[in-house]
Amino acid sequence: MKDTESEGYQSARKKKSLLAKVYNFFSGYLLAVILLTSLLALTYFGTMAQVEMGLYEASEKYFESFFLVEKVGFIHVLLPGVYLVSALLFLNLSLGAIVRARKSWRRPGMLIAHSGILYILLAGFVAFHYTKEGNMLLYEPNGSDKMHQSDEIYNLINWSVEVTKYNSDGERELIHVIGPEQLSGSWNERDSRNYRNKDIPFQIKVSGYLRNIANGKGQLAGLLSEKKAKDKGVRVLEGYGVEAVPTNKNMEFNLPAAYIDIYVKVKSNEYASEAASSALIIGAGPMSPRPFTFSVNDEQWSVDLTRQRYTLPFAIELENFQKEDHPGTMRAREYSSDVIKIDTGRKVHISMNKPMRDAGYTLYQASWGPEGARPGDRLYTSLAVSHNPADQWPKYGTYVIAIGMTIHFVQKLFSYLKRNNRSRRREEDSQ
Amino acid sequence: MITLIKSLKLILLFAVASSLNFSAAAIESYKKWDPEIVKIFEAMPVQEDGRLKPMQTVARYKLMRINNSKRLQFDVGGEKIKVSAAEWLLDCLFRPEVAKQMPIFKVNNPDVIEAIGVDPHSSPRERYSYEEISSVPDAMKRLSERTGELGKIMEDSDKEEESKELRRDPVNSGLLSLKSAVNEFEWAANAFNFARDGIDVDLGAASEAFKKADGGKSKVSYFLSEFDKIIEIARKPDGQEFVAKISTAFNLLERDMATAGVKDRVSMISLAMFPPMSDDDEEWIKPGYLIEQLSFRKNELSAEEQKKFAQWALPKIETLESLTRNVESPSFATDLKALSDGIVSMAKERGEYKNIELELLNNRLGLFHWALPFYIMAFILLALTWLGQGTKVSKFLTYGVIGMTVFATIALIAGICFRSVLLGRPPISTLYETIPFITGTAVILCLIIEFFDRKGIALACSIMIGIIGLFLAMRFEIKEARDTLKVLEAVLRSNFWLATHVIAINIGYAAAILGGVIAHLYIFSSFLNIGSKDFRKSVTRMVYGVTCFGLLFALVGTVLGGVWANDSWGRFWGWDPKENGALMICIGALILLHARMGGYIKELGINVIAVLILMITVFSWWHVNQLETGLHSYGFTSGIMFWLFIVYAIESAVMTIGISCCFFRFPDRKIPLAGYRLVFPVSFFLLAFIFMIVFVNLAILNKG
Repeated sequence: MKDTESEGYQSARKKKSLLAKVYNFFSGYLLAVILLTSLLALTYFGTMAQVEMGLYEASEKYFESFFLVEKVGFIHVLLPGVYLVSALLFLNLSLGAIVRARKSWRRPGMLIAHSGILYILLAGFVAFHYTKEGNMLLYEPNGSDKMHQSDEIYNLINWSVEVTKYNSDGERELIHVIGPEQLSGSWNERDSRNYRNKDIPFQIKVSGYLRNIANGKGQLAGLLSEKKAKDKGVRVLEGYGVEAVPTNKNMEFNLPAAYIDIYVKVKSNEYASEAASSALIIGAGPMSPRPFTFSVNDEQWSVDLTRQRYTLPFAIELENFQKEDHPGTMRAREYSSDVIKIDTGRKVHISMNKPMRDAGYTLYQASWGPEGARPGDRLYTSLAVSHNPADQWPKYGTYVIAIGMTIHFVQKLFSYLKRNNRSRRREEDSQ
Repeated sequence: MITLIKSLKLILLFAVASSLNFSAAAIESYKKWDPEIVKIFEAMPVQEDGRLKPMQTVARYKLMRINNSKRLQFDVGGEKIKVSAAEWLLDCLFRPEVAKQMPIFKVNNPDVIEAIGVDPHSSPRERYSYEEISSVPDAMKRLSERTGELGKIMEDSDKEEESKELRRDPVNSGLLSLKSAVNEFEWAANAFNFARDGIDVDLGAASEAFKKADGGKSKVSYFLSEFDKIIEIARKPDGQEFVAKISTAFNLLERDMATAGVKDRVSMISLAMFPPMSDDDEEWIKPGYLIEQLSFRKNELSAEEQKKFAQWALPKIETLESLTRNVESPSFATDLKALSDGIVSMAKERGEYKNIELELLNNRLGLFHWALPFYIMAFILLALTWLGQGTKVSKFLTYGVIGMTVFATIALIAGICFRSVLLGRPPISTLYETIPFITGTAVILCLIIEFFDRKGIALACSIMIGIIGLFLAMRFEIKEARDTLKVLEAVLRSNFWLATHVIAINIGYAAAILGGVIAHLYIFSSFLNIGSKDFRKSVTRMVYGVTCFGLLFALVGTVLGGVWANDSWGRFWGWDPKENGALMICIGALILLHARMGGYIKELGINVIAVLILMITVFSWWHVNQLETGLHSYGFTSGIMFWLFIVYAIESAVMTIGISCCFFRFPDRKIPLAGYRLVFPVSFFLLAFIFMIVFVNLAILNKG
């Protein structure tokens, strides 16, 4: 194997055309070694960074980026991000291990193993770009309310601004979402962003957006009284101002806040220069709706800062939730939920390691609450829901890799043993 | 010469002084427990940490948390007395005044003991008894105050930095561990206070029997049986004086009850020693709970249930009373036997007892402890064979080496299997369990290689790995001082994944470590120019083969981990530190293979990278658990960072030496490196050298 590879490498080197050189580089071992070394270094940096930054921010910086700046000692170094490295590795693998590699039916192991790795890299790409995920909270049924049914999932990390119009009965008539992408990026103190939509008779100005105002204990440490806010030169609304608190390592504990100003539409593309109403809104959990409401042209509207949510194509009902600790301890032995998919009536028992898969969605037993519940309290189950087109691909990829590598290494072992025996026999003969 | 005599004198003086001091800290007299009593006591089942286990196991880890050892040793009138953990726990429960005199608290740093106002011993090896500390006025109070302040800061999530800084201070960390040892001891020594002391309040108004009680003290069992009557009297309008008395009695009862351990309170320290009344109930009962249910929480039950419960619970309290009050009498053994038989037969009926005997056997055999001396003997024999290489004696000795290594390995594997059977699950699920498993796997791999290669190289490695691995397991057990047989969190309770992902990844670790260890032989052989070219060639071939083997398992194990995560958390890959560690091992091995394929490295390069992979494996196996972040949150063990950095520093030094062979001395190279070809070796050499310096510095920073 080794000999054939280096032969191919040398014969390719003789042709000196630029295209061939580029092709050789992109399909060669040198690039493979460089990329693997970068991946090794990045994984190390990204792991260590989690101690200070937490998983989410470290992932963003190291694993989901094209480039990043890392401080090594006293020097700032520009490094490629894992996203870029993986993409190049995909190219390098496809060209080097599939297109260029010598294909022999007698030595199929490496071809198979590399295809498996390509498949897993592809799965990673698909999962990264097309996964929708969130959590669904379902309370135990108590017969009187509908809190044991839901078709909505909440993303634990991403926040969005929801603009809602209510009809005369107070029901939600139209919901427009300003998604997390439009709120992302860095916000300086004086920054503001304006959002307009043809269905909405006003312009929404979001300013002073802060990713977090809560401290580790869940207290609103960034919420300032009028006096303090004025001292610090922070804008005051309804007697309060806000300032940033360092983001929590666990992103789900972060609570954002923003100032909202509403400018009513005057003509088709013209908005009033004075704000009709303004508010300071703080991120609210899924179970505590407390939106900022106002009326425009006799219509009731609300603007709310909520966790990004998706509606599933089906609704789920919790029939029963069980939780069991190891005797005499607070360590969970097992917790599980019996749920019904309402439209088809399918009953599923979801437990740790045993998710429910249906219509491209997967529902997992994630946790339960409320924290510190006493016996007899009404509990809720928290199901993690994800929609990932590449859900099962890595599993198949593993099988392919394992088969390929086993074939390859077993073949190598046998040829080594054969050689070893031969040389030992020769030694014995010579003695 | 004169200086030699002087220093000898000094040493003698020191020895005399310390021996004097030693006897000062020892007990005046100690009566050994009857072995029959110890045997009964050891086999009594107790529920702790979600699992039913023999009292012996409980006692061992309790003592280990205080004393860093499974045994206690002290002097009585010049005679050395050895006390097993079970005997010590018997002392704590039934003769606390004796237990309080035993030198048991280990304080290495004299500043710690001085900080609470106690005079330090001249040798840090000497332990302090409870009485020695508590007899100094305010010493215990000072200890509680200092640690209380520290605890407040450590619990405050906004003071993370300050708390880390405080814990790094050796006096603070010493105080904290002394406090937890003292707490542990107090719980054990006071657990049966309620049974021994009774209630020291005159309640004669309630009943004649209270007046008759010995020394004005009523037995708790009697107090509880008369509980309703007492409440009735207290409710009478003219009972002001009686109410004052009764509230004092209640306070005493409540304190002793809490020490004896109630239900719902997660205390690892109290003994859940009685099987529950109902067969459906899984939680065993601590003595304090019996009191609580018969007094403060009596109203939770209906009258009928109250009666039933009293009938069930009161005899148990009475038994403990009779035991604690008649320690010296011959009836003690028979009473303890009766109590134990009752509990054992209940446990058998409930189908919970079957593993207790097996665990006692496991404790007695101590298979891991057996394996270690055999590996060490094998090593000594091996060293002897090196002395007389090629002779008949050495050949004969080699069989001895192989025999001992195989025997030790069988003991090691039997130990792993034993644990697996006891808990009814695959062999690895905690950090501790990875140590014997990885050691065993690496040793077996070595023996297989030796079977094919027959050069003795792999055999030597197997013995080294066996010794280091088992020594590590022993140190880790003492350091953690928690029962290593653990019940599992919900997410881990999947035998399929524990048997596939966890086993595969640990085999990967074992192979990666083995590859690195063998590579050392190559590097030293090159650097010191010992051993033939063929020897180095075989070593490299082994390293290459083991790395390939390791890659297969590490890669499959890592991806399987992702598949598991996808089934339990809904994501295949989450950049969790432990996942990253495993990925880094795979990448390291892939770099080795591809650099070799591309012709960028030859024999030396393979071996140097194998050492790097060894470092990565240590990082992944131990270091990421110390980062205190991520989902694989098991085994946060404080105080091992120092050793980790020492390992990194040594391995970087080995890499530096290895790379230096490129240009200083390299017996196998025909044409010396020159010109631009030197750029990479020189930069890698500098990098490895800088790493070494950095790690030495980090080790110094993390000392203490």
